Amino acid sequence: MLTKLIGYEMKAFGRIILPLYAATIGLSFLIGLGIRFLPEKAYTNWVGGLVITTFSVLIVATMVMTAVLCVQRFYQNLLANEGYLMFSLPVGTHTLILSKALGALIWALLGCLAGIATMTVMALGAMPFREIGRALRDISMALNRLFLRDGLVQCLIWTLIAVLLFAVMLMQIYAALAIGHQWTAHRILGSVLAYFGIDILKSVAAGILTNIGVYTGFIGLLVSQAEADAGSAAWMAGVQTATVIQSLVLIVVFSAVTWFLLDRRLNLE
Amino acid sequence: MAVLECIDLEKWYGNVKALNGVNLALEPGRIVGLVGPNGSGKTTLIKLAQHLLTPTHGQILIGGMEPGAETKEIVSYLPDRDFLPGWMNVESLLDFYSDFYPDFDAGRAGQMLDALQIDPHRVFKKLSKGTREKVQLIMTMSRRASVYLLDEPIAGVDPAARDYILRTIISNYSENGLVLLSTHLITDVEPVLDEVVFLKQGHVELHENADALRERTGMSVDGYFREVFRC
Repeated sequence: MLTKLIGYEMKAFGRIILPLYAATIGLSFLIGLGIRFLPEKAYTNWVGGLVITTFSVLIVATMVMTAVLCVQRFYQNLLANEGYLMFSLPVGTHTLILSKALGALIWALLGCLAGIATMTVMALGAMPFREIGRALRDISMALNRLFLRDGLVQCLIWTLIAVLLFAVMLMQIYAALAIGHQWTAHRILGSVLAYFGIDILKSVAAGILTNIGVYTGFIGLLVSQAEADAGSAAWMAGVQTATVIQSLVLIVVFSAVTWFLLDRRLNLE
Repeated sequence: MAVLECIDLEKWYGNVKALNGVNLALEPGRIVGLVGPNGSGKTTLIKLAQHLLTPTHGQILIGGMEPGAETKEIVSYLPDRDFLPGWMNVESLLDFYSDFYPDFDAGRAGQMLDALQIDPHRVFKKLSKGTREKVQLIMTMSRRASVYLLDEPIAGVDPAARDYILRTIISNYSENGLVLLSTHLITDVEPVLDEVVFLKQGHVELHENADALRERTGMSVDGYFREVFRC
């Protein structure tokens, strides 16, 4: 059932986002060809300005639309009238929430890939075809050097951390929407206030934990250890581990709040 | 054995009591009218049966189970509003129902769409209000469910469409299925009802066989309803 739900998420996103991807990538190829074949002065007139402006607007629109859809799909599909359909499906509430989160995550990753594809296509259009092979070799060597210096594992860890931080932000938004949905009116306002309220709670919790750490001497131990290890692999591993643990805790807390409110306190209009 | 059972069921919204100790047992193979004035708790009862709300006290059981993912496999629900995704066309909606409900009969749905000359390629939100209601009813009644929960299925449509909807309900519900139909348009639904449940201020005022009620009171169900709920 989860895969079917994600499949419908892909369709719902794709019908809006894919045309934007196609337009951005197509225009980037045309711009690349223009860079290669048109004289430089072609870009100083109004036509060139219009093309560059359209391209910039498309990129911004794609990014904004991806972000908007991540939130809107959750709100419209679960908390508005479509909620009557979704909460009548023979699946658990946790499956519905997970499908929304995974759908948003997949489209965020696809957005990154589309960005890379846009730049690549523009470069392919801009350079003579015989140079493409050489450019690809250069990129490959640069990647090899990067992996040699930082290690493939480091790349994977930072990717994982980026994904986790995105998931934290997403689940905080979902929790805020679920809290705002408890209001009988002005639910969007309630959700916005809930989001900032959660931020305040996070700061308070961080302050309390820090104070506990100071009083128990744990923070001092960590600081002296960090100073000793500064810049070393152990220091970096500590930062990464702390970020992963913090992210996982927040994801679990926000997921639990969202599940409880949608399963036990659902308040469809 | 009752397929839908309420035991001392209560639902509070803040300080307002929407359902007040409802005890009810509904058998399969019946069409039951859930009637009552606005605010009597009809929609609340149906939402509790579909796990869209949770009881404050008491229990509601569907096929002996508390409402959840398992009961949704055997319950077909029609809410009192547009609930299908507006961006999907009718054909995609058939696929959606086929994907998620193993008991969905796509052939039967297709026949009903054909009979009403509804183009399956039309986008749902671009259909007229009456046609949207018909599509939603077709989706709901094309399941071979044990329980059909229909919340105000005829409230927003013209009299001709009401006849079609009622015919669709009678001719499509599973023989062993229970149809619980909430409405305050009693005259229209009276001919199809086997039983009636009167809800008044959150409690069951009356639960009786429709024929027996007519015989006992010498009035139609609608007439007796007006008597009981006279303002």
